[in-house]
Amino acid sequence: MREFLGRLGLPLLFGALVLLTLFAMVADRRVLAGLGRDRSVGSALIELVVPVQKALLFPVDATRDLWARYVALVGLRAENERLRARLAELEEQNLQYAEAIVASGHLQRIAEMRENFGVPLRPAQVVGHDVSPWFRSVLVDRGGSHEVRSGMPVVTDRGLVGLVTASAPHAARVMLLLDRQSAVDGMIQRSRARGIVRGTGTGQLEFTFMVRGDDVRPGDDVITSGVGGVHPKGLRIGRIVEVRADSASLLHTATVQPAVDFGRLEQVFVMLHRGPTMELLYGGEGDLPEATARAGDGAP
Amino acid sequence: MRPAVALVLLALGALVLQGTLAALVPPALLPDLALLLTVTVAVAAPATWALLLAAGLGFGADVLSGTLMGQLALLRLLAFATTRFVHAQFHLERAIPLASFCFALALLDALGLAALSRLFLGASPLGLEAVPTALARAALVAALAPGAHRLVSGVLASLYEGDGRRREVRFDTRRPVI
Repeated sequence: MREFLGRLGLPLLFGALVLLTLFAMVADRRVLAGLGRDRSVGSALIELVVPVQKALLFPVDATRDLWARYVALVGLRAENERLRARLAELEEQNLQYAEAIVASGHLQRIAEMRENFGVPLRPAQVVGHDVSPWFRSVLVDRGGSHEVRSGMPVVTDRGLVGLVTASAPHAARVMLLLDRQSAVDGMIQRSRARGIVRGTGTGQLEFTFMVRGDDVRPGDDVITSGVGGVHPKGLRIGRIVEVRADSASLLHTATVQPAVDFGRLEQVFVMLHRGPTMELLYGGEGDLPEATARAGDGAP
Repeated sequence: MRPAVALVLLALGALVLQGTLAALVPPALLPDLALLLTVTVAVAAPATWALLLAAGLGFGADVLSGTLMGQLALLRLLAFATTRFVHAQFHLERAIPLASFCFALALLDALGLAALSRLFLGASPLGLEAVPTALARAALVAALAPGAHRLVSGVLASLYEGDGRRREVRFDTRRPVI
């Protein structure tokens, strides 16, 4: 018997592990395609990996910073002087114009965004990227202990970045808009034409919309519609660069250039508010931080 | 015991390094270190350890990735089984067979990922535009495979040797004098 078990031990273990993976996939599929792993055993690994990745990226970031701040600027000294002079001239000529330049800074935009949506924003640093190049997600250094929960939208001053899909106490995973699993209900800001913005796995997005005349054109801005109860209305998603007309189909698609530069994603802001759909999905207010529950009342 | 600890550390190191590299290099130049480690350990280490490591690496990658939980784990388990089977037919310790095998396995791994995503999520993360990236990654994995094998088998051999020596010494000291 012992010899029999010894001979079959490895195949049995292999079979058990394969069954475990299949069970895990089916279970995870049921939690809406990977969302809601707040209390999973995986959070321990994320907790372990994030500080190490942060430490590993520190010298790279420091070198980049040094280059950007000093080395790359050596040749720009003359231009910098000229620009300073020009700036001083502009300040003299038009104080209000200079004020507008300052107001266009990204911190100002973030402050405005916070005011417009009435939702607290939690700044977070991107510390890791998806280990599989076929999926587009990032790890950020804020998690449950900072009131960051699955289902919360993530933005920058430029627009929507994605959605928190898993959180550990001190880290969280954010699925980017570019991921093929990502779908956001969006609309054209100009014509209010609605459609679905999907990730393509590449650097661009796809906007699928119902044809009703010429209501989607290149150059149009795409924003979140607020329908679907996941993202607040009015977050900038990107700009239409190409409309692909197919006369045989009612649904047309357009290519969207994301507003956010995902290649240089460093600091993001988690909106500490979950839409009604996410609330239903994650089981009510029990899981919500107090600040979020308060903000949710006034959120659009 | 020490080889097992070394394997766990290697697995953690591979996941952390891969996550860090993902932020620095384009997808086509990002080697699949987890797959590489699964194959090299399946060739160089005892089967049970290699199997557990493959499962651990897969589940670890699932946690750090946007995949379904268990998706990469299943692929790693299949990679382990394929490696053991092929290793029994051809000696994968040699550089060229190992590199060729890794190239094919990396492509199959990408196809498997696409198929599982299609099956469970209804959409695949890989389209036709991903083919050049998949080929480039497979070539990279193939190029790195002989070096990774030397590294893993070297580490394991030195640790086994150390463990063996320690056991031998302990055994000798407990042997009755007469």
